[in-house]
Amino acid sequence: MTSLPLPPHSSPRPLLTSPLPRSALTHANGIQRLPIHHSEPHSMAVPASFDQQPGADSIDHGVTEAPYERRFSPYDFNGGTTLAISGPDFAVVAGDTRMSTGYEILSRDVSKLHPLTDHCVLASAGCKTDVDQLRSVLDIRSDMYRHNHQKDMKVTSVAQMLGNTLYGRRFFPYYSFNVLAGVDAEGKGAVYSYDAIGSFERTHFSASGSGQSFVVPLLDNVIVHKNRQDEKRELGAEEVVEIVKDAFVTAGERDIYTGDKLEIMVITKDGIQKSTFPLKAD
Amino acid sequence: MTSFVGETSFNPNSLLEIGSRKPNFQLANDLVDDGNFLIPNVQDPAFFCRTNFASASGDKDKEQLVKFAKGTTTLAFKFNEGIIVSVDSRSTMGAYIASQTVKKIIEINPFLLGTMAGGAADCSYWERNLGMQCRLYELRNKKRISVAAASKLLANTMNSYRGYGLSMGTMVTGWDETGPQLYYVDNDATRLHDNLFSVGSGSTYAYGVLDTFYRPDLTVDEAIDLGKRAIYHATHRDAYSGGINNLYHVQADGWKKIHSIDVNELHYEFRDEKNEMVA
Amino acid sequence: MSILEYNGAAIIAMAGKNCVGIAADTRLGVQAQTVACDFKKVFKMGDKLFVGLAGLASDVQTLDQLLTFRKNLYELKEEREMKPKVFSAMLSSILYEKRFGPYFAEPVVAGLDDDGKPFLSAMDLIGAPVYTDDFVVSGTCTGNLYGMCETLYKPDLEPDDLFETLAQALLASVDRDALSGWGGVVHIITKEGVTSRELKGRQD
Repeated sequence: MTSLPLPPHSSPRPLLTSPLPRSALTHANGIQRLPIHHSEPHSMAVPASFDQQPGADSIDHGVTEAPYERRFSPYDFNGGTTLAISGPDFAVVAGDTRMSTGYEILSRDVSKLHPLTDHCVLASAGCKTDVDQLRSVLDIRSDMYRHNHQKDMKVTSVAQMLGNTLYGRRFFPYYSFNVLAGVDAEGKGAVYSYDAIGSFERTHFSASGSGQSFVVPLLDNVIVHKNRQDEKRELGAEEVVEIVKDAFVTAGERDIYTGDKLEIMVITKDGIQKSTFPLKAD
Repeated sequence: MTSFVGETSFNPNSLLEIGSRKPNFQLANDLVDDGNFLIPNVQDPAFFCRTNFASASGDKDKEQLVKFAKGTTTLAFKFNEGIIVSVDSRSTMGAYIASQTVKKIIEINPFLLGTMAGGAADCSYWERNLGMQCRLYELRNKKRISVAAASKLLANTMNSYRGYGLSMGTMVTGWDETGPQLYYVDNDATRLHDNLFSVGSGSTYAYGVLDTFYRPDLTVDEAIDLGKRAIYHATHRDAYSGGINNLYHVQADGWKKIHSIDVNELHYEFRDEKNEMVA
Repeated sequence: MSILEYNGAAIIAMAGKNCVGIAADTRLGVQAQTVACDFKKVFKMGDKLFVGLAGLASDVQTLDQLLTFRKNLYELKEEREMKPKVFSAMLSSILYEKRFGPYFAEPVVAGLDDDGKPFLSAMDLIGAPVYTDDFVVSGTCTGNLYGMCETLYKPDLEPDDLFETLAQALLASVDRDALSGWGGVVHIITKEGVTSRELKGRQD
């Protein structure tokens, strides 16, 4: 069959040419590169065959030629918010109980609070698996301390130990945002805030996790009294618990990873009192 | 100094131990001994660490999943009556201000001070480690360590971790037998000896003020005022500096904390001063 | 750093009882460096209509000029004042015209209707509007702003209380953001007129 005459002024239909140079026929590691498209040199010599396994033709469909990187990330962000506030003779620490990944909720009842001694609670948000490992390591270390010294670790010592433990993983960090709360040797409330690799500081209050930015400015204003002209008054434990509930209701409204239930622990020199408070489940 | 978790072997340390079976503390020790850093099991751990876990200054870590708290404007200068060390107190994670009350001057011992700029965790950990090494030196040699030796110890530590993405710009200062000394030590193990340094994102603003008014024959009050002013100007112009100005004076019998003033108060104090000058 | 965070901003608009308030910080920065402490981000478009623009300073100023021009043209043609709802729709349309090369600004519109009812709307940089009856925020520290507003907001606030609420919400939020602050300004719009006050904020 003869083909129709080409219209004037048009050049003969151009062949697709591969932009790759001939020298690109071998990979850097010496493996022969298979042709991707029939326009490539020597590809005509590679016939498609019907009696080979399906999918085993010799044309490379771009997989080895332009491999795209699929990197495994050891970290996942499981969400949640934690918060701690110190008072003259108490410390309040709270965390929500939602555990999520991406847009899915994995559980509505997973605690973020972990008592390390009778006067010290660790609240952590971030990647749950790293948090679990961190808690195990801290438990082992505080048990060892108790066996060696016949007494519980003080909050100040726990704070330094946690800082060192986190820095011990400086080159492969625990993806865990911690807040440590407790009552120190003099009976005063102590709250320590941490970054992921163990830089810590004793502060009046601290919040961490996905809802951190929603609650911290509120606490700056209400607890520390920044930018306020009215007189600052001492807040008791019950009032602080109400403020904490308000803060979590706010965080639950605006942060998708926070909600379900709120766990609150009030630490005094007599021990730890636990309570829960429901949050929106949406 | 680095090792992988799980390296276990029983090496007898003396003739007395041969034939005895020591319980294997190695695994437990790796969990609790923080000197053994767990390194990711990849082809090039240094490259992996500095690209994924670098505590960079400014926003160089914007691609990272995990951002670390960073520090910002610190300065120190030597004059005839000693050394003034003046710092701000802000710590930021990205653009979020994590804290306005960070202690960026680390009291290594009553005669040595270190400052913190760059990665907060890196600075506080390694300067505390330096404090431990200085104490061991004192116990072994029955005399206090010199500033030159202390800064060298820190620089050598930084050299071992070169390329791993540590971020630390610190000044080690004190008064030893040779007089007041000031060294700058960096995360690439740079160690410099000079009379005046400013480190951090706001250092350029601080240098402007310091270079204009610095003289070796300042009086103590003038020097304190200069240190205060330089930090104020840096905190006003630099977004990543602010909070409280902590100022220390290093003298022959040790360091002394001079003041802790909110830089916002300084703003209005200097503004009133300017208005009075014009009037 | 994202282009929307290049200059830094924090803007809130909140509704009260027959009044509406709009507050903004006044910092102009170039990434870390603060270049000015008196940069206007809230612009008066009419007696009872304000627009706050957060984002790239160049686009903030260009949009101000463009919106003034378009509003004046509308009022000349129609021989009547532009309602806040219409202004907001026009702004949304202007932003979407540049869908594939947008203005890097996220505006907030606050106004009072003829019958004194408050109007609030906010948009992203390509004009997707959200209409609320409580508050809207925009800028580099929206997390902080949402937290503060959510907790401090009460419906039907009187103008003085609205001012206090806006001032506290703005100052507390910008003190936790490195890229905004250095002073603030609050405008309260009521049927009687507009009251504007400057806020004394932290200068670091």
